[in-house]
Amino acid sequence: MASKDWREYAARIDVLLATAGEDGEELVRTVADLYGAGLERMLDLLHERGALTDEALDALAGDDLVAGLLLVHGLHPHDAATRIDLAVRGTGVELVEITDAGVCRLRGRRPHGIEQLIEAVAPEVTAVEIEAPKPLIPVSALFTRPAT
Amino acid sequence: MTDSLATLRRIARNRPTQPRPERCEMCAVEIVPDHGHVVDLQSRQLLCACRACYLLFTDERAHLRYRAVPDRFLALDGPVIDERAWDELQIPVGLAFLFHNSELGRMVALYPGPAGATESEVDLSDRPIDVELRPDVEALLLRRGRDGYLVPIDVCYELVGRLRTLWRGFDGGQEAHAAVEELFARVRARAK
Repeated sequence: MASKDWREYAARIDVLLATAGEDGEELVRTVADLYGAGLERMLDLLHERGALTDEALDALAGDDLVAGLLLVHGLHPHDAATRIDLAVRGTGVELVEITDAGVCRLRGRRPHGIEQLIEAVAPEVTAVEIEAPKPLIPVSALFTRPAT
Repeated sequence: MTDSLATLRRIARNRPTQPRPERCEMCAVEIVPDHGHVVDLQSRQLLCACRACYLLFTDERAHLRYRAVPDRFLALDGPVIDERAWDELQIPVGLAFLFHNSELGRMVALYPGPAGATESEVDLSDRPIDVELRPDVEALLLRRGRDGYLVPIDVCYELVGRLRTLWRGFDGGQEAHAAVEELFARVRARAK
């Protein structure tokens, strides 16, 4: 069982849920809630004993499976801004802010699939807005005649 | 970051804001909260039923597996079983419900507890009960030394179910007693 890639379990859930209807979804939600409660309890117990060092937290955050599951349950050790910052590196956008309403504001040229990327690292984000990059030369400068 | 867990995230986040509507357990149509029940005479299970399915099983003389639970509440005059009978029943909680089990062909007495309803092993057949009770679907809900009512049997199921979750210690504890008081007050109001 341990030898199987966890992604196969996730994919299998998708396949089974496609035909399971509302009852199936409720069952999965309830089981997930139970495991989420367990994860939270585990982190609490470790925290009470001072075991959640920066090193330990980084290790949790750096593992795709663990980080992914912690995200499902809103337990990821890094805040949304840190996660987004890290995820958008090299995509041509940068994070401006996350508003109180949960809107993630980015600046730059819209990369393909940015919404999915943000959702995957910060499911708490409610919407993604992208503003155009600041032009290097202000547009207004094009219309002003240089003083001669 | 891989996106294998997108489905779990979606499910964890999108929670139905309203409880799902109840459905008839016979034909699956949506039903109102104040729906009727039918008893499965073989398994003694109670099924939620829509009006149409409920009406299929209202005939008391029909030999069917299911029987509709009527809506009759009556206050009983005087104790149905006397103090000596209570002692014989060996019911520890001073609360019991009696009904006629047509599969067994006799009256049975049950009392609530932490594990649900327990049947008293005492034979009631030599003890005439002077109330006309529809078999399987109506019950006598009795409190020792206090009061008694004829109720639809689903009321007893409801009480057993609630007490099971509230039960603490030997006699049920405060919350269980409060639940019993609350239910009897409701039954009393219906029986008028």
